Amino acid sequence: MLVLTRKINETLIIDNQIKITVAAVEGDKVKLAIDAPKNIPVLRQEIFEAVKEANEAAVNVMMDLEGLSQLKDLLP
Amino acid sequence: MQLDTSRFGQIQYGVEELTVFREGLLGFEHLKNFLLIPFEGNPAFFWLQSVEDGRIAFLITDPFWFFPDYGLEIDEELKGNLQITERKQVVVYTICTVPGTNIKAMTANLVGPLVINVDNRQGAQYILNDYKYHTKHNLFQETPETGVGS
Repeated sequence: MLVLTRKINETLIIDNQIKITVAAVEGDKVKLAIDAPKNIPVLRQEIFEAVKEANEAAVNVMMDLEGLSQLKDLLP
Repeated sequence: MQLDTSRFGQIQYGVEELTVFREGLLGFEHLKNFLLIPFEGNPAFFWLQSVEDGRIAFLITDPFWFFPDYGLEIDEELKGNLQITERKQVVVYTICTVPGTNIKAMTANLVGPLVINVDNRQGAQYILNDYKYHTKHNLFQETPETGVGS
């Protein structure tokens, strides 16, 4: 893994098309400005992991369809 | 075509009924073809039944029934992938989770909605970079629940 040091307002360029600039450092938070082409998704890793976990949890919805019929009365 | 499922037993379907998630769902990238099955007696819910694995079915809902303020912006990348040209082609569902047997504690994942082009039946799970949403929004309770990513 490549480890680089950057100061505020300094930028990294990845593959000639993605720019990551350190916009601010506040305590233990680093604000990054990311300039990437629209076809490159930029995601916070924890969201990616959370969605994956949520999908995995979702397939365990109980098999008892009779229980699920309670849903009919729960509509807002 | 014929499919053995855990939840519905043996079902018959036509290839034209399939909704295709070319990239699958996160954690289930190997499953691409699904059937959208209405939840009997409740128009707000559907099942997303995998065709490749009869044991896998997701309970999904129309999030706008429960979260009228919910909104998402579909980027050009996704529009291109799903060949979306008009707003009316788009339907959005969110995946629900029921903790144990407590249906009232059901939650919906608003940060990873399913976006489907109903014209060509292509779908994708779309991850939002929106701090307002997380993976466990309660559908039936007022009490807010915090989730990862909020």
